Amino acid sequence: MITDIPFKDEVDEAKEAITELITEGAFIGKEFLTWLWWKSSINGGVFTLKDGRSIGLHFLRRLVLESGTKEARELIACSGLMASMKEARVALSMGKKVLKARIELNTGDIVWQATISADTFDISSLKIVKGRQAQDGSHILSEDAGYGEGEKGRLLYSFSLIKEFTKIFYELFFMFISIRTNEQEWESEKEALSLWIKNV
Amino acid sequence: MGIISSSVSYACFRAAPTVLNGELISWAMECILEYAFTDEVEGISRQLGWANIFEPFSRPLAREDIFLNGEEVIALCLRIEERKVAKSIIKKHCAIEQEAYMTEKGIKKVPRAVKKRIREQVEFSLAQKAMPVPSTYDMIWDIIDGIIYLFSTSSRVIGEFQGLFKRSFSIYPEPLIPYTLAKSETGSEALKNISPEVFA
Repeated sequence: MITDIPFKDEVDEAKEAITELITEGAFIGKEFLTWLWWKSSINGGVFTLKDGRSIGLHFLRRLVLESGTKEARELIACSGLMASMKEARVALSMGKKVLKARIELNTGDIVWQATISADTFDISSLKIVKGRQAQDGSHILSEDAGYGEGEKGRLLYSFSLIKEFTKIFYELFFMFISIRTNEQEWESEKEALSLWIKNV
Repeated sequence: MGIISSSVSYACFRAAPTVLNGELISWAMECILEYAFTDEVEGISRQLGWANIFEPFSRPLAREDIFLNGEEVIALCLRIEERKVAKSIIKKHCAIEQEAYMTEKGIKKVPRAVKKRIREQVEFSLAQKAMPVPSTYDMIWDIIDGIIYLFSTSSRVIGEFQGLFKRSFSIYPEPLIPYTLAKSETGSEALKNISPEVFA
């Protein structure tokens, strides 16, 4: 169980409170990434966003799983084709959860790849592997995307792509947390997830 | 600019400006300029402050480079410069100074308090001779969503950023970690009822 820690005025005190929240609330992030892996593998990686858009999400070749805390902490890193990530699935069956994962998110016209840390939600090595494209298949420049030309246009265009990825990622997390905090919904979700883990 | 690199890493924070829209630019400019990076202050071994995101080493902070997309985005660079001295060099000079102290006083052991003072003096004097090592980190503050994107995931840089941001704007940037993000969606009461789950 975690409790809400009020923020105090001083930065150092706030930092201590945040460190505590990272430690105590890390399980939420790990459960989310584990849920996301399961969901992406059972629904063909298709998620529907609030605005009706369908997006594709796939876990890529690298995963880090963790169980326990402090001295009892155990980590396992797996890499390989996701279709045959049997060792990672076995690790789940032994009580481990996903701590770090590389994902690919696809909205059709844009494809991002990024590594997500479950405990802090830091985004590492975000790459736009396929940008917005014009009808003739060429990349749209910042001025064509409506951000003007030059350094400011390039910055705003890059930022718009980063922001879009972040918003979608947060929306997926909100999908999870609304299920996770609803006792009935979570019971059936947990049962199905546990079954998937057992059927490795 | 790190933000337009082919691969970026970042952490997000929540912070909403405390002033009305019409006063945003004058308020933010005052806050930013008070903590702008200043070159070469003698005697300081470590400096940090805000710099121009487009040319952090040469171009002064200007309103047209900070406020982009109207008043929707504040773009800045966190610039840190530190005079670093290798530990082995400090150790060597401390030994020389301690030897000189013992000879002068006719004693065989340097008291702990004197050792500490010598070390501080040696560190300070060597730091003055070292060239400052610069590092820069982009920061985008999305005013509309109240979210800051800091383009670093280093805990040390994040700590420096939070301190400088709080001093500048009198707002503590709350990290968007799983717990705080979940709280923003469900409220803290809903989270009090959940505890780590076992899937296997």
